[in-house]
Amino acid sequence: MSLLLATLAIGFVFAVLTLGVFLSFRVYRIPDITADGSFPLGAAVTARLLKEGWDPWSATAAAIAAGILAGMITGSIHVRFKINAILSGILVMTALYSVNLRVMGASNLPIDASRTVFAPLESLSGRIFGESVQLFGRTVPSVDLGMFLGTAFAAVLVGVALTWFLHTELGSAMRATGDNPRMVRALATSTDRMIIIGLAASNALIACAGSLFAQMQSFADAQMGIGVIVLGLASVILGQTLVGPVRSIGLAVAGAVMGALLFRLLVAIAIRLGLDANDLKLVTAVVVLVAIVGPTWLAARRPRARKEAARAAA
Amino acid sequence: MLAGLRRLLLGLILIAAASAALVLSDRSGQRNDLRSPIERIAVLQINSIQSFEDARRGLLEHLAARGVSAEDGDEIILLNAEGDVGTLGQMATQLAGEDLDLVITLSTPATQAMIRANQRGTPHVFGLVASPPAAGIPLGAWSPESPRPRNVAGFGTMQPIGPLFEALRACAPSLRRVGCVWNPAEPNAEASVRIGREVAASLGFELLEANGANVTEVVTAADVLLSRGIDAFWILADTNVLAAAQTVITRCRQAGVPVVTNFPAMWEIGGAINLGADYPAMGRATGVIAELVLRGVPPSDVEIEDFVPSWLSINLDAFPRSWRRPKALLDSASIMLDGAGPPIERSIESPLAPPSALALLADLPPVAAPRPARPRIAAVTYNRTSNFEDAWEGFVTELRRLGYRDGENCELDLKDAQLDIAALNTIAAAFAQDRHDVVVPFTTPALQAVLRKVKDRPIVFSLIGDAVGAGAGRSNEDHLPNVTGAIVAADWEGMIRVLKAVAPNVRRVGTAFAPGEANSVIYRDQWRAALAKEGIELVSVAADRPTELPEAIDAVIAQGVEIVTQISDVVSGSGFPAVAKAADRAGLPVFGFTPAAVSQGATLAVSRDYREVGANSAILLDRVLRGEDPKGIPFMLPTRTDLFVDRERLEEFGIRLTPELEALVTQREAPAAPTAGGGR
Repeated sequence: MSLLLATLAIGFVFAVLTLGVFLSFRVYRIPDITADGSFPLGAAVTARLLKEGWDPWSATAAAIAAGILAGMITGSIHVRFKINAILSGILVMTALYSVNLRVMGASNLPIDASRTVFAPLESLSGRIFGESVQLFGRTVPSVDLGMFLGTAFAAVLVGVALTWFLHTELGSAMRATGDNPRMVRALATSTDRMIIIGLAASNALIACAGSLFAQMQSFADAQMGIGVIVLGLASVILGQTLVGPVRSIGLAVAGAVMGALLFRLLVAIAIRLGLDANDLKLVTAVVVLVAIVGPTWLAARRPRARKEAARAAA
Repeated sequence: MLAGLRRLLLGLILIAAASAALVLSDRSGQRNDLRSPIERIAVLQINSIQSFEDARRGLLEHLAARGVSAEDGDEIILLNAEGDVGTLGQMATQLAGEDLDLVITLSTPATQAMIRANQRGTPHVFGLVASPPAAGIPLGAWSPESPRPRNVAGFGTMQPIGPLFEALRACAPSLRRVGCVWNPAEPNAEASVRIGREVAASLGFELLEANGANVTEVVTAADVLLSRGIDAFWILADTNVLAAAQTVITRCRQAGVPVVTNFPAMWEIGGAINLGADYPAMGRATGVIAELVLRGVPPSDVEIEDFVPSWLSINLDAFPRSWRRPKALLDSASIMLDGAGPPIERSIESPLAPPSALALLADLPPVAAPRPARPRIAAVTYNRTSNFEDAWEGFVTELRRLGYRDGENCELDLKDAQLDIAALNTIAAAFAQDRHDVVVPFTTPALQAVLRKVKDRPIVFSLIGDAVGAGAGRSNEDHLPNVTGAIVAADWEGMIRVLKAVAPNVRRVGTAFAPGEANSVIYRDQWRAALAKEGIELVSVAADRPTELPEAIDAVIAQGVEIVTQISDVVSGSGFPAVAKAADRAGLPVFGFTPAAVSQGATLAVSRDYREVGANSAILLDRVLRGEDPKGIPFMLPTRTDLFVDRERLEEFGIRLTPELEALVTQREAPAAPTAGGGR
């Protein structure tokens, strides 16, 4: 049970990351590789500032600011120098590796677990529930429950805020930039500015996820960003598959969050399968594939669906 | 709105299903809480005669009472040659080749066969050897001159022949001739006979002897003796005679000749006076010595003594009418059969083991808490590097040496996060939930993830350069209460000694390092600090990938270093040949810190072996599983340093080893590089 709560907590933090990737990939169709650098950037900034004695909220905010900066740099390189978006991301990601080492002053910084944004929730949960809670007949440490609730709140908050933002005038312009840049330019709006703002917002979320993740695991590590963009893309696409082709922003956002949760759950199941240590990623890939393909395949075999398909074909 | 919710349904169902699967996999609370030690023991006996079976039973009972038994998860191999000396030799050879904690032999032939076969010196405890000197093991304490191998301990169980003959003389004052059969090939029997002859002579009767080398011959020999006219027959400690005892006694009784034996249990089959060893008690005494050795007493500390817990049984029905029945003798019998009624039994106490063994036992500290049965050990690494592989190999090998066998008496579970930081945290959470007995993180991120999740049970880390920096405590001694482990540390002082000996005027050395690797940065800083004390400057250039090493080393060399002293990290571990090549081009020697460095082009290496770090964590793990509080165990530093050299390269660079260094050079060949490619 505590494994489930911990997995969901990681899933919610990765949902924030996924929403960041969602913004760049779904809205702008750019797989923004900056994520591999901005995720550990958020962690590094937070760890360093907490070490310097900052309070956790300011340290998290600073991490988000650092993410914004990283995204703006990627966006600027892309639009000002007309460099391919993927290469821009690679350049910034590469540079951020050194920046992160500089920020931390080491390749790895521990974080005092009692001084994180989750600490008040953990202790509150401890005060309300005592040392441990009974959930579905299983004993769960109350701190796990606190962490779960905290990350769930953060993910929902970010999801709602993002939905709201994409409905604002600026957000609509951004979506339009992704969908039909020529029309946006015809309306005398700068697509370049929209791309820079979009990538800044995207990396803000990713850095925020990095910051939350570092606080959750109590350390930041220079190598923690490796493959993050791939995980984010996988979650986005998994979510897209879950909800199907939708026009509603809210549903797409919810799909991305669900994709992140499901991905982490499937990794946890792969871990629990108790296979050879070397096979983790292979098993993860297969499990995710089954999760995506399985339901569609089942649905296609349902007679009603077949009938509908036949009617559509006719 | 409703349509929107239906869109979310599939995702929600899948999430719920995956969650349910995870909750159902929560097996916490299914732990087996039995606790006991884990040993691998063999018991070798020559045949199945009753006394040996009794002794073995006593032995196993004693060991079981000390928590060593098959039920407790220990492996106890019972081998019985069933009287065949050839088989005995094969069995001894087989046992000598196995990885055992202890071999126990019962009987003289089994003991001798094992001593001959035991080339590797597996600890060996013997029992039921009537005369150790006759078997080549002198009585008394072990000394370097002694022919007794230092891995052997036991005690002599010479049968009480004098007291038996005295009892016989007391019952039959007119006795003139006593017959016995024995096998000259059996030192035990020979020793008994030698004593028997002396005692018989002193008591004024003659001992008629006949030889029999197998059961048939024994019966024939007994018939011969009976035909020559004897007043009594003596069954002594000879394996063949024992095997034929029933027949021999029947023949004797048919001839009207009473039988006396050194085997108290023989009252049942018609032995008249039976004074001899209490075999279950001898088995227990053997068990005491086995216990000493299992608890770490060197076998050579055990003094070889004669010790025979004996008891007397009398079968008055087997007494000839002419014999007397002295009251003192009858009173000292533990069992006496007189007529049709049930035998009279009396219990007579005797000590548990030879006095010197009991003294050693008393000196041992109270028994440490035993390890849990089938301990569950959870290991996790952030990724698999060459350093990890070495440490893991050392860890697993040492665990095996300590008696842990994965899948048999312990469960060893390794998870590799494969560089996925989120998976690392999920693994830590799974370990936290799974009620493993102890969690073993390799690499700094793994330690940190585990520290966050696992609070209620011991953590024994491995392969950590700076555990204090990772947040495991304030110092190597003052640390988190549930944490201990083995630290990796290079032998900086050792390398400085070498540097000063071979290049006394060196002022500037260089290395590449990997800023992204926690251990690499720590090493660089430690090496810089150690060199600074000697007034030597360290030039370091970053290389985060093996492909960046040539440029990094070129940059180092460009700053005027005299020797490349390449610190050990994952990047240089896989790219060491590149380091050596770059230095070669500039004509500079490379000194390394890993065992493999020399085979990859280093001139010499002052190395700590990551295998030792892994082995150290296995040792700490064992201590923790045995109940020691991790809080009191300081983080363990490696101690062993090897100096590997490439003679050709030494000559090439004109480096002369001082005689002191020459003496330190590790003779064994440096291990080959994990990756292909030499330095040239």
